[in-house]
Amino acid sequence: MEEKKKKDKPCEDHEECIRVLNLIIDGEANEIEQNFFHTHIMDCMQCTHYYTVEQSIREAIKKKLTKKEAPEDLIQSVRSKLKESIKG
Amino acid sequence: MRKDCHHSYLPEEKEAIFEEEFLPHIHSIYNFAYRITFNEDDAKDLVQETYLKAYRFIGSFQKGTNAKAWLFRILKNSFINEFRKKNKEPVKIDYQEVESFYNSEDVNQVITSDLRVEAIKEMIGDEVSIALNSLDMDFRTVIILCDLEGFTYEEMASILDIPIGTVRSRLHRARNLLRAKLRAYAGSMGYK
Repeated sequence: MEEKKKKDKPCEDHEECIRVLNLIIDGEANEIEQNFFHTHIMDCMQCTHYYTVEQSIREAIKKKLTKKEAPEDLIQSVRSKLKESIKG
Repeated sequence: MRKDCHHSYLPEEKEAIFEEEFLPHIHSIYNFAYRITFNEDDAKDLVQETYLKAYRFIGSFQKGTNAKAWLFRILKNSFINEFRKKNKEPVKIDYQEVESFYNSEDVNQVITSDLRVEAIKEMIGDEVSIALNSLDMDFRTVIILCDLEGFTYEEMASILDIPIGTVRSRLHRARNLLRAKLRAYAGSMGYK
């Protein structure tokens, strides 16, 4: 019960937590930030929610955005220009 | 382009670098070009330009290093220096106002209001794409480089010629903006 109460409390410094969360997800957090993440963020409901949503946005960008492939004629044209440059 | 370390490659070495280190990134380069120009022909021109410059300046590339970041940097410079001028991109919108809003106190309230994971999962690629494309070029760029292309902050700083602290803050703002767009979109589409 005590535990649950603690988790539901509004985060005291959410802006800072968001900053650290983004670094964690990007794999750019230093040791202090990683410790902060493990000791505070995963124990705070507001931060956990933010973290989960942020991760799924990253996932949506990676998986749902179509990656445009370079057309074959472009690749050929880049190659032939290279050959011309080498000869010239 | 840095001039401090120049490498003299033989023609066959140049060709090998081009084939083995530069060309394998052409799909990523094209995708990025398309996402900043929104036009297939312009993207093709930009890719051509990037590869021509890559060849011209191949002496400043150290074989076996990060060719992808190097090419992205050339592409970014080409876009800014020539392409943008030629095409007279519409006057850049002043997003100062938007930025200051997202730096203000109100942002906490906006951010914490509910965007549900389920809503994001239900969205299709077009919806995510529209939200991303609606961001200002600078914000869109950092998200593409980081999330789609997997560049580190350090690589992004080098590609964009900005300090790493600016990469961090720009990404932070970009993410707040994207999140707000997605939330608005989710609301309007009835994902609740």
